[in-house]
Amino acid sequence: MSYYLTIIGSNNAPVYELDIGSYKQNSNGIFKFPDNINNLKQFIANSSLDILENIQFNSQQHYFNNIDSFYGYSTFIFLTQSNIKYIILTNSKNLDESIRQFFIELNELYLKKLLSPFYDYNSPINSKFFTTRVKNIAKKYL
Amino acid sequence: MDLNIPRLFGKLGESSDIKINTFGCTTSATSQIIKQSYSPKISIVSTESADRIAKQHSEDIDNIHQLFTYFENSLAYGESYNGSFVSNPIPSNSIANITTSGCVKFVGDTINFIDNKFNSSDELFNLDVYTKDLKDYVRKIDNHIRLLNDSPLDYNSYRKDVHSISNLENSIYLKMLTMLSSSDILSSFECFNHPIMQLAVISGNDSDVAVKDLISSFENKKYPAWYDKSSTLQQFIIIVNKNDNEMLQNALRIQEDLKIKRGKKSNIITIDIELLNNNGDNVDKIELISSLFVQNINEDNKDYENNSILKISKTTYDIWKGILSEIVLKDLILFMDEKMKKWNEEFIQPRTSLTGRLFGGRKWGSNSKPSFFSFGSNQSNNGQTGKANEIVSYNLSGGYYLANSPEMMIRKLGDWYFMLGDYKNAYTTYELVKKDMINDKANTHIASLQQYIIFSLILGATGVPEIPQITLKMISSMINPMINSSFYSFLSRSNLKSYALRFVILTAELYLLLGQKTKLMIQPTDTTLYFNESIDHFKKIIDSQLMDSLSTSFLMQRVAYTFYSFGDTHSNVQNISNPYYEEENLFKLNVLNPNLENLGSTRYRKVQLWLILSAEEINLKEQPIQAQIIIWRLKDELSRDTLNEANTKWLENPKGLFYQIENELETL
Repeated sequence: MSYYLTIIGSNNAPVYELDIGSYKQNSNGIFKFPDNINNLKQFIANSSLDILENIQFNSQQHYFNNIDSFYGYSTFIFLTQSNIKYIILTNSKNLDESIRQFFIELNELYLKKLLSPFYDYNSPINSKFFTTRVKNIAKKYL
Repeated sequence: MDLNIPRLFGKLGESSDIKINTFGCTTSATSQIIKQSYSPKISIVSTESADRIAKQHSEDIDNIHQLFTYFENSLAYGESYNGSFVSNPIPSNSIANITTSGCVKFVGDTINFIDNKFNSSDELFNLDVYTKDLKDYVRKIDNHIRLLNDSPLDYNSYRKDVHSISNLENSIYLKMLTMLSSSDILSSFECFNHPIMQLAVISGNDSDVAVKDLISSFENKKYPAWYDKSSTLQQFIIIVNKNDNEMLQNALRIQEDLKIKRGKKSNIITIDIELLNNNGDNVDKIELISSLFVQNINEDNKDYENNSILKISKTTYDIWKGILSEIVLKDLILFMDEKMKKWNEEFIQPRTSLTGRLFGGRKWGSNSKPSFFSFGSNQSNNGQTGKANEIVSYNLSGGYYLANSPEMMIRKLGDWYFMLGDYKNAYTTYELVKKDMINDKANTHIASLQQYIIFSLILGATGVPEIPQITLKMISSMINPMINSSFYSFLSRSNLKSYALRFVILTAELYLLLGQKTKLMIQPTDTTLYFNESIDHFKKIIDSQLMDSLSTSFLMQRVAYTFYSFGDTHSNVQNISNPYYEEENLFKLNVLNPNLENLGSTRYRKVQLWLILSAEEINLKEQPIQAQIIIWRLKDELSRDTLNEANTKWLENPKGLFYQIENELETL
């Protein structure tokens, strides 16, 4: 099982991307999407924004479970109040609650990042520390 | 430079007021093809001397049949047709409308059953030949695109000629659809290709023997048990030279003989043959475009683009048009009308009337059914074909119903309703016979019947798009199970790939048509339902991998077009005034990307995804231009609603497919 995580800014431009391999269910933490999905994952994640835009103003919720799918790969989105989107593309099944928990902690991490005076809103995140923290959260839930 | 667009399809949109869509051909063009392919068929047979006269119309015409195919469009589109394709779709839903438009399809001598045509379950077309033809056509389009501009093809020249290129590109899908739906192969389980009229064309110089041969070739031939000769009307046209009195006298004699001795109706047509040979400028000429389906007739003639335009004098055009429309409107439609009334009284009314419902639990003329309520099996297990008045009507080993069996007659009645655009009656007629076919375990017949039940439902609903007649419940509980079972039947039980392909692709096209029509209404209903169904069915074919990669690529582009349709015809746009908080919170303004008016109703990012998928399917070495055009379209799409370049850069990352294809195209 593998996860592709991306954070999309409020201007629909990507802020952060990470490939995550799972440690659960005998997985060794290595990210392995097949090639035909791996080189399309950005397009797949991006296309799910169409579906999000369709429902985001009709719903009160932040977490959109399995909002879109593409040949066995599901998309999960967490939408913040400021229109930042955390997107996960995965082939894992029945991990809705874990992914929700992951998003909640990721949101906390991102908010802390926003508080940094050296970080501009909607600008790409290149911090290694941020990546390490995200990986730790992923290890915990995914 | 003068653009030499392939005449067959390139003419579509070139002179019409159809708005050229850079993402795919419009549904009005595709629905024209679908409806025209299911129009009544007229089989053309001719004598050698009649063919010689036909040849004088143009060097590219070999026989009368070829000549008549140039009149298909003018018959379909009525008086407004004047050598160019007009955008008005064929009227539907009313026999009156169809009779005034007279949409028919001229076919060759398809009922001349010989050798392999005797088989009751042939494929519609050979998939290998289809693939080869499509590749040839794409190659031809590629050459035209290359020749569009003197400078080499690059993004700037693409943008400059985007409309011409889109027109050519769109023609490929139309061509694909035409090849899927244009087969003239006769089958035992559907009657659309069974000619309703056989038009024998002779000249005034023909001998009695030649005429006799034509008649006997129709009447004395041994037909398969599933073919009903009596529902084909034979009629004659006698061509006479205007200045040849002797020819006219002979023609009048033949006409009288036909009427008195044979009971056949004939029309004499007087043509000025000298005028045909006159190529001078003083003659008022008219350009006729050949039928969309003509290329399949001339499979050997690869240079069809030159012979797809016929220039004839206005006088000759009027004469032929007059006689053909008279035959279609007066003879063909009346014949159909009479037959349908007769079959209705004979087969439908006994079933639908109160007495029929109470006592009609058995088959007509049969006392074999003990059950009062059930319509039971009526099949022959020993493979005998049976005679007309026998009880057994379904031949299990041959897989066909006898031509005069009630099941086949009802099926034929439904098909004729369908051809005339009366989808409501077609649907009820099909439903009436379905149960019998299920009892007889006539799998191919059921699959085909269900196909046209679905087509009738969707086409019927497109007639009144303001009232959504197809609901989600109908789709999930009735239509989709039928589609799945028919698709499975065609593929696995009957091994008829071409039927399965045609069925699902046309269903997807019809859903797209229904979605677009519904969306155009003032109060758009939930049209996403129809678009999603359309996409699902295109995906079904893509996933089945029944087609070659080039066709799959064009199907993927069609999926992209369907996604594009989500926002394309959005008419119910509300004017939204700027909320007060946007002035105070600058970040909120970013939500305006792409456009607050249609935010959520579009699927442009899905379009991007499917465009890149379609580019991946294309063999870059064989069709580099096709892949390049998709990449350019995708670039245009990516720049549609981005406020900064980051969005594009993200999707164009070096490990991504977009970058890989673009890079590979540069190295070619």
